[in-house]
Amino acid sequence: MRIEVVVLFIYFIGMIGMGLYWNKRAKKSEDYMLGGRSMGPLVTALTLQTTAMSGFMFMGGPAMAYAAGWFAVFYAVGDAGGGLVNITILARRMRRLSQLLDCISPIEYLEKRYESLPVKVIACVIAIFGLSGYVLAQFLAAGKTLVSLFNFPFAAGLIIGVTVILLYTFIGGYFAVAWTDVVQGFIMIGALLIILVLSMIELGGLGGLNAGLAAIDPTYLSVWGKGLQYEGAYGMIAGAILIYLIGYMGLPHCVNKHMAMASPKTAKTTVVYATIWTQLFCFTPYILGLCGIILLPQLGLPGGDPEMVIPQLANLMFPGIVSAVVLTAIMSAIMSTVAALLLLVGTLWSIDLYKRSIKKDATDKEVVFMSRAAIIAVGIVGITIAIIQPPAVFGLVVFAFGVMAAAFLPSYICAIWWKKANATGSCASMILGGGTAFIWTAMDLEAKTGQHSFLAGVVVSIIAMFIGSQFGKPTTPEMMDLMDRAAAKNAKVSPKLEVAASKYLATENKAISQFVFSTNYIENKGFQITC
Amino acid sequence: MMVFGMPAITFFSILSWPFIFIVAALIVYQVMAKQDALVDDTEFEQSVKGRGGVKK
Repeated sequence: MRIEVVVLFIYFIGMIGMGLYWNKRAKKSEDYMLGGRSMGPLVTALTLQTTAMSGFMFMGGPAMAYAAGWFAVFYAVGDAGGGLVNITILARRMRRLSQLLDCISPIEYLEKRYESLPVKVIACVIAIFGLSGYVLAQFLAAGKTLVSLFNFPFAAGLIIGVTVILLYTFIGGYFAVAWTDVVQGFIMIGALLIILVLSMIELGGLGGLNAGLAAIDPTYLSVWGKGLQYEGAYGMIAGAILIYLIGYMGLPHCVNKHMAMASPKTAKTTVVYATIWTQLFCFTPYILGLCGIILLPQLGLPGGDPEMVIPQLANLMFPGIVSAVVLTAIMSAIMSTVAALLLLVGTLWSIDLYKRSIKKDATDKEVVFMSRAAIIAVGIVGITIAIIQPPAVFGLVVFAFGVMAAAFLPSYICAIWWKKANATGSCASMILGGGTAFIWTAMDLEAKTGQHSFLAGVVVSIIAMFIGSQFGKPTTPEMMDLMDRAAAKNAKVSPKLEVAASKYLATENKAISQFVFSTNYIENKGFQITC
Repeated sequence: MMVFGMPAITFFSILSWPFIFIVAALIVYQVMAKQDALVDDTEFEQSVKGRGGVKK
């Protein structure tokens, strides 16, 4: 048996084993869907980033670099900064507000924040549409990867890959998804760095790579792409960076990672881990695409597939264990995204529809059961559709990201940063933003205007949120108070700060305050403060 | 001007970003750490029991 197949099966068994291990911890609905809000910084960082980065990074990224040269690496810049922006803007406040509102799902969070049932209905429709497209795209990628790499029949490849994902997600819930993401994150980074180092040694380093590219076509080294095809297209570069830099804040399966953090304080370390991981991960596939121009020139010929640069580099140049690890990493990238999507679909069904609309007195056991049933159902339907492969599906999946990100971005940001944002604004923003992104792609306006569908959608979405929030029921004082608590504006002040602040008081008050607070401090910390 | 065999403008406009983001993350860490020191988040460090939520 080929070493790649053996390694892949060991990996699959390991993932299922992790699902079984975490099954013990996933009894309550909050445990199953949010890991009991107990995730530390490393797990939060890696589960957030591996969920955001799908199999596209191993396939589409290198293909773009293979075609356009160094210009394509601009697309990695937005991805590389996406985690930093997402965590900095949303994490702490969303963690606090989601607990204050007692939310498990990111759609329930929007419903309770905007105090509106229509917000939930609209958000559910858009999320189910977008997530289904996304799940289907990843299923197709998983099946095709196994087919192209191991020559499995497509249906068999698809069923094996998806069954493993379904098993560990079904059994272990969020705990299993998050911890398998950690393992998968390290596999993804390790595999890419190994193949990058080996390729660079082969080419004589960065200088050797550039010398080789210049010998083929000097415009590969230009910031404007091969043949200077994007010369002066500053808007296109800005758009490419912006899409991924802010787009992840609109994806429900990414923002719900903030709700699962152990504490708001987890965010500061998470941001460092996530940023370091993305810098190592995001640029590497594109640079490998550039290496492929020199090392694998046959992929650029008719019949060649530049999307296979990384598997081919692994397979042809470094067969054996390196190749096996790289192929496992590609499956990891796909599986980490699919698992998060499936879990969120299960959460939407069990919490937002079943628990809140169909059976309000459902027990925790029933909710977890419904979530698991939904995961299996989506898996089976997804496999069936992917095998049949209706022609419209491919078009659908392409703009699932743009529609969801444009629809939800202002609603998630304004939920914590703008008190005036209300249900009218949120509904208008979701419908018009998502609708614009949908129509933009459906009518092929991207080619006619030169503007990406996400960019058009998000601009409309922001304007709709601003104008819509001027009408309708304003945010209640109770919700404003909760938003203040989420922003930590009227939180209890720490004894350390109280002692520090007392030095600005009048002498008598200062003595009294410092005595009182020092006593309190002694009780809490076990040592004395000299005034 | 060439850096590692590529035009300096390409090198700096593309490969400077990892360093910019890591420095930005360290600055964000410092700012968050200072803010966290001033805030008592103990109520958010315990998992919500059941589905009752926190009283408004």
